[in-house]
Amino acid sequence: MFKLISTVVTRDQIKEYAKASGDFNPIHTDLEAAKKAGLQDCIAHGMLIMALGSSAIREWGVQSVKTYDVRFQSMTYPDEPLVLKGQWTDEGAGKGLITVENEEGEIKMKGTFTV
Amino acid sequence: MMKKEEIELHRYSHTIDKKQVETFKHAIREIDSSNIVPPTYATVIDFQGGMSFDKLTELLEFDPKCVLHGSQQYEYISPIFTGDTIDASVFLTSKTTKRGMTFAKLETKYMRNGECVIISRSTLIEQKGDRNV
Repeated sequence: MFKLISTVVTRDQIKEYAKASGDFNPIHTDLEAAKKAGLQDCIAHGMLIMALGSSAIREWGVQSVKTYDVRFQSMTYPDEPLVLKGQWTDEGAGKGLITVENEEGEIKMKGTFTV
Repeated sequence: MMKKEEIELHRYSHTIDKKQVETFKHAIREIDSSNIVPPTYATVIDFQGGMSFDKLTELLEFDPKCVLHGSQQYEYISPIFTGDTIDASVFLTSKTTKRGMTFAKLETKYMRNGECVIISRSTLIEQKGDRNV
């Protein structure tokens, strides 16, 4: 198991990510649009969570990633504390697992990587 | 080899800009001053290169008010760097509807000088229902 990484995605970071990536889906930055879509608040971009995951993989010392494959399993809301967990599932074959979850253990993103 | 049912949706070209990469790295809190482009940067190539959110939903015939990202996969063939010009081609590989939700599967091939450097496979969901628009 790699070391746990804790982080929080703030509302400002979500806005910053929208501008930096060009992903202007209104459910991320417009509260009214998010509510109309049935959400309780704006949500973080799945791709922002995936990017946090790739930074964690790098921080864990994993290099030369060949594939990175994730499913976004639940919404991530602003200021929600998150924990990134990772481990090798088969180190010899270069296969690893990554999850991002909140403090209650709700999985936000689950994925695999290979090197 | 392209499968029969694949439909090419869009093509665009984007030159990776150093400043845009730095802005992206800051947004994802990546502390790295090298010219390495972060692994999920292909999403910037899409949105900044010509596949804006509005363009994407228009091509998929999705209601832009209720679009979610279900899954994302990247296959990295060669590293990409600032200054590289990337030509992207997006294919719709399937579109299915189940219980009020439409699932579109996309495959994007990112080419540099005619060689494929990254392949992206993603699922986008148009979620309509009682509690949605």
